[in-house]
Amino acid sequence: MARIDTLLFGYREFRVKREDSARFAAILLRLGIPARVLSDGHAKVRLRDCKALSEALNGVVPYEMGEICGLPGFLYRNRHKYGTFLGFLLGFAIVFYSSGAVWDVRVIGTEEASEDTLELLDTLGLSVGARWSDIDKNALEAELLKKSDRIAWLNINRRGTVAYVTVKQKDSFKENGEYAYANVIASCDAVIEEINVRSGHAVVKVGDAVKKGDLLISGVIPGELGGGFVKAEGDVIGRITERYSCEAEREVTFKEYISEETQDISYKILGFSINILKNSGNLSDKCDIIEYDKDFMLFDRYKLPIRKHTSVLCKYQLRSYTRSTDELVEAALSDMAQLLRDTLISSELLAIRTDGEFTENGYLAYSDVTYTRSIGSTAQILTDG
Amino acid sequence: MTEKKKQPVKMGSFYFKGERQGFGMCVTVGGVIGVGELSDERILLVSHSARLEVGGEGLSLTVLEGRCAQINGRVREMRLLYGKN
Repeated sequence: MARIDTLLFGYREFRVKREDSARFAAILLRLGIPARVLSDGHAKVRLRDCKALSEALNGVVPYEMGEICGLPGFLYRNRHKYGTFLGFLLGFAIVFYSSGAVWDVRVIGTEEASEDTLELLDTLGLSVGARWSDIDKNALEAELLKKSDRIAWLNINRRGTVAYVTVKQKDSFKENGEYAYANVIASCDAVIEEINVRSGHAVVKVGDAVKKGDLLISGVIPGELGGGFVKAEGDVIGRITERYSCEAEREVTFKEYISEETQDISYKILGFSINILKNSGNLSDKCDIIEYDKDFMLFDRYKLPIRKHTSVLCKYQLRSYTRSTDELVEAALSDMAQLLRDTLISSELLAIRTDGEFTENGYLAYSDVTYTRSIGSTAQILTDG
Repeated sequence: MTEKKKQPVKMGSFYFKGERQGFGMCVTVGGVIGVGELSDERILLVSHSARLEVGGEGLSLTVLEGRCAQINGRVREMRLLYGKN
């Protein structure tokens, strides 16, 4: 049986005498031509290797070379059958076009609101027959949340031609029973800047200093108001002052890549993987395997269901060097900037003061930062019932 | 768009590894420079400093890139012999 890549790109069958099969295999090995050699002297060789193999076998080993087989052979023999090619192209175009439409919409997470959700989705443009390219998932999710008063959260996922809509209803927590009652507590030390209560009652006010774990909004209803429990909800903004530090070391070790060898090439077509090249061997300690995928586009707009996956083995050696004073400071400040970017991503910065000092190992940069962010986190109230 | 990169044939070090496959074995051998014998019952592979003799039933040889070869079939014995000759 031929390999899938030889079928796709074409091959010829070579035949030698049984007693010459070992010499034939040795020639293939010498030329680096992959092929399976049977003991009776048959081998299927890729089309692009046939010329080199013929030249090597001429005058050395008597052989017979068959006609072109595989897809190129089929195309060549049927080159005058225009209807067949037209049929293939038409079929491919129909499959490609129809895969860009929604064939089914499935709602998961709720049974009772399923029909209502489907109707709502229909009015917003997500229904059977709609084109995926015309659907803005984020806008659709936001619009659906605005129009529905029963849905607390939803997510739309595309799997092939089916749209899966996962829905969480607003009272599902109560039905679940696990997280029906909760308090809002402080997630860190802060000074309260702003507090907005949606459910429950606040036990702190603006200007109060709180520590991590302190109660901010209580889910326990006081007796004079009827008693009982609720799930406390609200936004609590706190002002936080913290010091962040980063140290850059003087001695730096880095990898210097010295060689690159392709290990594996495969194509994924409609979910099926076809391996074209596979290099096996022992891996040394100092090597990285880098894998990357490449997608193919039609007219730079439509993504084809073909992906090329390449795996490259990169051997490296470890090198070290000593940073200069300027490089040391620059590295520490760059790390500090990245740390602050990641930490303060959903915060509002009020003040920052950065300084640094040289240490035994390198340079230590530190920043005193004052910022505001949401500090409330939900803590479950455990009841006996 | 295709990517073509010619990889130089490397004189890799000799190695072999075997794994079960179906009702037989798949033995991959690296650093092979020649084939001494090829038949259904016996295959002899030659490297720079050793020879590997594989005996069994229904054996076939697949040549791979990078001086590697793969033997498939019901492998009964493997002998490692010193020297090319």
